Amino acid sequence: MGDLIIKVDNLTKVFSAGNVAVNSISFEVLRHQVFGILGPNGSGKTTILRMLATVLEPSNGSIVIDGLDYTRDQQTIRSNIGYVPQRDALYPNLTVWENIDVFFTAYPYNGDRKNRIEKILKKVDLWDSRNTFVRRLSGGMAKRLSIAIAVIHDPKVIFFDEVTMGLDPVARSNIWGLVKKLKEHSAIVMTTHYMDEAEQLCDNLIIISEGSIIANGKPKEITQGFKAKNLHEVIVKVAREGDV
Amino acid sequence: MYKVALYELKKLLRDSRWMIIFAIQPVILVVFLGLVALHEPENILVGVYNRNDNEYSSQLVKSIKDKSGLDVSEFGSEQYLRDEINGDKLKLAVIVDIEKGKYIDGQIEIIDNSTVPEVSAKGVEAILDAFDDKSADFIKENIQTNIDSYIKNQEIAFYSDSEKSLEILGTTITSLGLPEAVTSQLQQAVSEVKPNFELTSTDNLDISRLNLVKTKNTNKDIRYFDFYASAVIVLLTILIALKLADTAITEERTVGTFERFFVTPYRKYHMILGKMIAYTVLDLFLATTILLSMILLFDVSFGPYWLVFLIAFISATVAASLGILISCSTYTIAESIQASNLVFFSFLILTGFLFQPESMHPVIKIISGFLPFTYLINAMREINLLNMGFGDVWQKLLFASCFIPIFLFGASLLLRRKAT
Repeated sequence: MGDLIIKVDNLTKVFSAGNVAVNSISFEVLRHQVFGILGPNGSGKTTILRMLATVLEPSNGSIVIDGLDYTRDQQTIRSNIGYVPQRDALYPNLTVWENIDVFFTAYPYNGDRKNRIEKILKKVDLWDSRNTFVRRLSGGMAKRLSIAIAVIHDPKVIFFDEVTMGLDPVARSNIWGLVKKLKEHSAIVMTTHYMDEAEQLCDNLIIISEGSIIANGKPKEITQGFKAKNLHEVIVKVAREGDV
Repeated sequence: MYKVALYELKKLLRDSRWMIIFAIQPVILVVFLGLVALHEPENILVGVYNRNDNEYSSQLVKSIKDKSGLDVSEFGSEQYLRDEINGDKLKLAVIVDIEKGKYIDGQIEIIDNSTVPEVSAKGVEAILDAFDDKSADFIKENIQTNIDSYIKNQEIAFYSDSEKSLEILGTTITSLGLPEAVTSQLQQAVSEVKPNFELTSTDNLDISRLNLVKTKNTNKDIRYFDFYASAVIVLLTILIALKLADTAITEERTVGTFERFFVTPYRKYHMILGKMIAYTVLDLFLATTILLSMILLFDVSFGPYWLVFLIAFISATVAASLGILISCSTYTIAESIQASNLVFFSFLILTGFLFQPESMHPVIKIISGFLPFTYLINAMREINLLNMGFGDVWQKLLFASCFIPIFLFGASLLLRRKAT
């Protein structure tokens, strides 16, 4: 375990209609840790992740990433984070290489950029497809490319928003392998609907319901705390209690 | 920014279906416009009454009747002819009243316009009821040609101080007590179809007698289509360039790349200027295509090609920056398309292409005076129709070009990097 890389205090998001999506939550993420944010649909997982990734403006609270304050150092924070959105968000008419290159250009980088792209493409097993147009990639390949774009600049924190959604078991397994590799260099914050994935990958996690944290800890601790067999049961319980 | 622009271009050009539509639409639109506008009117209903039946007037009537494109009927009663034109059954009523020797005695030298009324107290009265520009133009061209020809045949020559102020005499166009607004419209119609002529009336605003005085050194080869071609070039480039750029940002929002783009250290101006550079390159192609289509397919009479191209290119670039502004201020593709439609058709109405400035509400006229596209259309017309040069239009071009940074700055202000 490493030291602290993300510190979130009383983070709140209220949308314009007065809908409180995230209600004063606080948590911490350590370096080289996979941190999961779980919860039923509409619980606020993606909203939290998008605020951390500087996509969405918090209504209140503070976020500190690698010692940088969200409100003052946003631009520097952006250089230190990677974001894998739920949708692949790629340019279909550009090749694999070009998709990486267009985003990589945004980051300052002292080394050889071509070598870096080559290294990352090999890491995500897309080197042979580097000249393939993205529109011709399979779902799993597109997701791996999406991850490659997010990590091309060697970020300290990577945010994954339901990264394995819609993938077949083989593709999911490949992504899991990638996440484990990436953890060696970066902290990872991920949301997921797959509880087996959370159990496999997450060192720590929070469970969100209606914008508030109802559990925080290691997967096994949370499962025991809810007297459940696994995280799946925990989420079902949380969802039912939410409905009541 | 260079990479953003480069990849933006690649994205667009690699979409083969998009590329085909983009490349052929200016050609198709020019072809349609050309075929619609270049075709001469047919069977325009003209009535003729020969008030003073003699050898000379009969010759003139015969020459009018022989003119192709006109469906000419000779009337035995002047009143009947006037009733027919008043009842909208004719486009033109011509009353011929000419006698050799009575008005015309060899050569008459016109010293100034004050002598005109005496000379043309009689002659040919043409009552024009063709308020669509094209028919009016056609009628006037044909009737005047006949009258000019007749005068020449009778060895009647009117001299003036120079070629530039040649008086076309013996021709009067009567408004027949039409309301002032219609009279004004008629005046406008004449000036529109004969842009190289200045319409004057010897009796102040009474246009019972009109003299068409050639006042400017004009391009003599222009045709009806040439006049509209100038505005068409500008409007086509605006339309295509605007529609090209109006979803530039909203498409990124829809696909999700917008969000990914702004999680990186890229700033708003990278996206806006990157796209603008890409569209500027496409605008070069667009301006070239439209210009070449006009010249090669319809032999449109233009001023200096480089200047016409420059105006078309500026038009496209201003429109592209406006498209980006629209795209930055909207959130979905549907919104962008609706907004750009609204903007384009507002410009179309306000620039004076469809409706003459004289008929505009004063406030609208002022607004029209601030629109970049009004200046671009006027500059294009001056270049093509009045043989003006860069020195005459550079201020208009500069004014219009100033809107490019204004629109882009506005786009930067309106582009919301974050969702709220």
